[in-house]
Amino acid sequence: MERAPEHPGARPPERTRKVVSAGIEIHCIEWGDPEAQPVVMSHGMWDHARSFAVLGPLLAERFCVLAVDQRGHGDSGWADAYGWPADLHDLVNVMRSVGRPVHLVGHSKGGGQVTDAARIAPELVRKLVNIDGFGPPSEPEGDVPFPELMADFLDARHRRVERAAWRPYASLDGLVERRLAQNPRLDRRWLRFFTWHAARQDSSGWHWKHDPTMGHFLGPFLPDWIAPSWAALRVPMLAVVGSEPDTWGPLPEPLLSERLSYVPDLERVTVPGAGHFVHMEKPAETARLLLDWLSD
Amino acid sequence: MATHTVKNGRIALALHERKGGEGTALLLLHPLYASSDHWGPEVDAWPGPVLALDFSGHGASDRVRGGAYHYERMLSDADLALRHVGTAALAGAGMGAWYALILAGTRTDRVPACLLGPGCGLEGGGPEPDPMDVRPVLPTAQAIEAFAASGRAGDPYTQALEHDPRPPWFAEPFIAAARRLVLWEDGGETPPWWDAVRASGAERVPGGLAAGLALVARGL
Repeated sequence: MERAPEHPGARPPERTRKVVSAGIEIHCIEWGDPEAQPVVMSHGMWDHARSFAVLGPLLAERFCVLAVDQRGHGDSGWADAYGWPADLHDLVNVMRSVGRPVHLVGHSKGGGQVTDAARIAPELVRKLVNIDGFGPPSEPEGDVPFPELMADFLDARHRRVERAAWRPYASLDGLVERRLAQNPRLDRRWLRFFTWHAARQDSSGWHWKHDPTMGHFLGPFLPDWIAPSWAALRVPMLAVVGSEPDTWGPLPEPLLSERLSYVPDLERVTVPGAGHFVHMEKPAETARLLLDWLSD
Repeated sequence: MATHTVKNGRIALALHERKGGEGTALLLLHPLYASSDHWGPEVDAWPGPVLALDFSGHGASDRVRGGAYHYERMLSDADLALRHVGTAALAGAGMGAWYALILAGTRTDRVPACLLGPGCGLEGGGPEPDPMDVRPVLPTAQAIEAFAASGRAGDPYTQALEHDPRPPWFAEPFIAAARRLVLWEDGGETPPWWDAVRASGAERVPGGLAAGLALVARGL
């Protein structure tokens, strides 16, 4: 077994926590004084709690930081099915386990989810930081009729859930290259650290830890339904994006401003020189920003 | 008669074969909080084989560990049951009617006709979500207790399905694609997606399930 790679600034967790949510074990890692104001952090799709392995310890100077592995990701349990409301249920159960109101920080899918968690459980939340998690672009006017899209979607979906395991890679570097191809802005050394924690090694090679049956969703849902629901937010939001175009996000500025116009108590910031993964690319800058905004 | 097991990922679905026979099969999709027991003896008048699905978390099918019941899960249950049967006329009630419609518009080569009827879950979460609705979709601990106390069978997490939106604009292309749609109506209130099926000129049967099935069978 290869030893865990090190990365400058990344600190191993000081504590771990397991929260059982709807029968699924949700694994969390923690840094900082357990008595300090808690900050709960949630990662993006296909990522895991170590997304915050540099940012978390920097925030732990002042806060008790708790980073969640979402169900099906990292060291959390696998479910029979996945979906946005189930992830929210898990997040609310993690917040309940803390026992006092928390600050929420989320990236991408996790950013959208901390925002929705604050909508449905404002009594558990003080402030909210959403890092480039403002939903997919509006639905394009496609030429392919829904029934054809649905047939293809269902066929692909059945193949996915029948897939028992990921194809093994011969080396960790194979997985790193795969991820680097998707997120070319990310630093190779960071990805080696991050991917080691996203993978496991057995006699057949290296596999992703996350559940191979997870996937995307097609149904009667409009991205344009997301932003109006933010009008129901009862806590302040800091909206963070990077300045650089990236594989995912940021949304085109007019769409982003329009969506954010629904948030009743909003502050916005753009981090120069960062793409979609602001907290991984610029952890020190992100930490300064959050320490400042989250402190009363 | 025999109960077939249909796998949907890690879930084993129960597909009950009520009767055999020659000719086009009938696949029955039950309402929310119901099971294949929903269907009375009138379905046995169907001339061909009759099969009734238990959706995930209902009847003799497995519960979804983790409680993530939603659109994709239920539609894929119905689609995999259809794949198992091959070709079948569909009859769906309540929640099952919505999924029968979507499937009839998606698998047109294998669904010659589709009968839609009333029942629990017909309206779902309405034609679109209310942006100011801050209720969690997965049930709270209190809602889970209340479900058990109500004497309902099945998985309490299926309450999440009450939130699934049923927009008429989403239904319309499936209505247009489906080969034959028949509505069996009981005079109760109908949601906007149902009104869209009506507006498409679908045949309507006021006489109940038996009359609806007889009309569908005559056309095959």
